[in-house]
Amino acid sequence: MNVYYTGLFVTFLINVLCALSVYVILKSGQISVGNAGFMAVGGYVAGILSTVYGLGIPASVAAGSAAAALCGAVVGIPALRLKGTYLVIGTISFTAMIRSIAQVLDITGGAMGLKGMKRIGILWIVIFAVLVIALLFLFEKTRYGLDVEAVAADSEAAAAAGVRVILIKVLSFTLGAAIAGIAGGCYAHWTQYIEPSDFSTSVSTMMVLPVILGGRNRIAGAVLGAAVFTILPELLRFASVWRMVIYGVLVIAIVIVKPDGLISGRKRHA
Amino acid sequence: MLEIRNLSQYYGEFCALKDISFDLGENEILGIIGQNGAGKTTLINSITGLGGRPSGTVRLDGTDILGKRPDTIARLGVARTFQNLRIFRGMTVREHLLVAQNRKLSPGRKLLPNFRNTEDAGVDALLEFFDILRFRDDDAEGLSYGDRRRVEMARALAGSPKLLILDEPGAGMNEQESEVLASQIREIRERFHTAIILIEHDMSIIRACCERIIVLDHGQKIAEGSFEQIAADREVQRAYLGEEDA
Ligand SMILES: Nc1ncnc2c1ncn2[C@@H]1O[C@H](COP(=O)(O)OP(=O)(O)OP(=O)(O)O)[C@@H](O)[C@H]1O
Ligand SMILES: [Mg+2]
Repeated sequence: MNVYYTGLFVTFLINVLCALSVYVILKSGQISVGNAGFMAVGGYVAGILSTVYGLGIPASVAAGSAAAALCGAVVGIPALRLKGTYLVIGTISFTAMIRSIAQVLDITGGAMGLKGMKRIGILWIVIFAVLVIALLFLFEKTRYGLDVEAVAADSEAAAAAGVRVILIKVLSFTLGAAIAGIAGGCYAHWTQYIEPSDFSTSVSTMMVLPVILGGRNRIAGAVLGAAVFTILPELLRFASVWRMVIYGVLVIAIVIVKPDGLISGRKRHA
Repeated sequence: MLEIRNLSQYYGEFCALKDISFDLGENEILGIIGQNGAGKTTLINSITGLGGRPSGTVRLDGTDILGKRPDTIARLGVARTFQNLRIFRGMTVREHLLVAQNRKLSPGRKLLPNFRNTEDAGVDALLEFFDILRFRDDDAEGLSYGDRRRVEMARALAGSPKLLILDEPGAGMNEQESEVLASQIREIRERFHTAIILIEHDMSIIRACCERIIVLDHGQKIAEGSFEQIAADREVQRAYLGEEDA
């Protein structure tokens, strides 16, 4: 594989992780436009652990994911009280807060960014992505997976049927944040340099779009969406300045034609 | 098993329930009747932890449940159906029952992935009971109104409740269906050993099922007793004037 395709492949895998991090939260009937914040936590924690403390890269990524998961739980609890637009604003604010913290701390390199990370092997990124997909696939086949769907469908009726709605919602946020954390750790050790602006709100938004486009009911939808969002910008390179416009029009068109995403319909529970 | 004392519920200035007190015994079927807006649904919402900030006491087998979260109350054994159906969009009939069954499973069992469409005697028996077994793997949303009501009842029973609350299960059913429903409700008690609170406008169902009936009017309990006692009650007649042939 030449360098260009290798890079594209890694971008795809990281996009898959990002999309799945949003997918998990959407699946529970919540929304997060703050996953770049969780990604930042994963990226910085992993980067600091591997550079400053000399921890191995895979272990650093895992630890970054755990730190992000913790943030997910902390954000998930107040998020319970927020719905719709307020939840969107709340999660956006979280990302802004994480960015500001990364700006002012010394250990994160402030506005200069964090550097000095060694490069992660592609195989590790593949392993992380496959592991996340496999675990999510299994999770959806469990009774907890069924609880998540019931909460998304009608959280009051689910509660009346005995589903621990709060637990399920916070769990979903935590899981989504953990996955975003892995994406961040992999990203930090692939580009070997991260700065606060890598984790802007537009990055958060770009994490949501593939799921909406690919189909928010299926893991395969998120993966397909991530593929489209990896390849499309490359295909549109010729269009230079018009790229984002064409991009936007295409996405809006697909969402209008297929409101449930490219892969719609859900899997049934055995 | 259920003990309710001075249960009140205000929506701002408006008093939707005022000082409601009653008891419910094991294996009893209690009817609640009253005109539209009398507060029947509000009463069971207060018992099941959905909506508003009720005051008073509600005890289930000695445990105070008023103000507890709806899922906590459900897990203590109170199941209900909804007057305006609350079906899980996109989920099959069978999945509705599995969700309710979940409360009885250990966290370890809940984490076990399941790939095959395993036979589940409990689920099938319930669906058979309500004569909706043939819809088991269909999208519940696509069923007829009456069948969706039956799905809701089956879902409520799938959690093996001690207390089952039915909010107008006969709404939209024809005379024949109502008759079947009435016998099903009595059979539920025998087969599933549950106490039942039944809200219903259809007096034939109330008469066929309930040993005891409570009449609500403008948020207040105006009468309590057997069907005959209620029918003879002056105040009930006044509340129902010209509307009820009972
Ligand atoms: N959330 C709410 N906010 C304000 N008022 C409410 C609310 N819920 C119910 N009410 C009012 O409380 C009163 C009782 O309503 P409720 O739904 O309990 O009546 P009901 O006896 O179940 O009637 P029906 O037979 O029509 O179902 C009504 O006047 C209704 O408008
Ligand atoms: Mg009502």
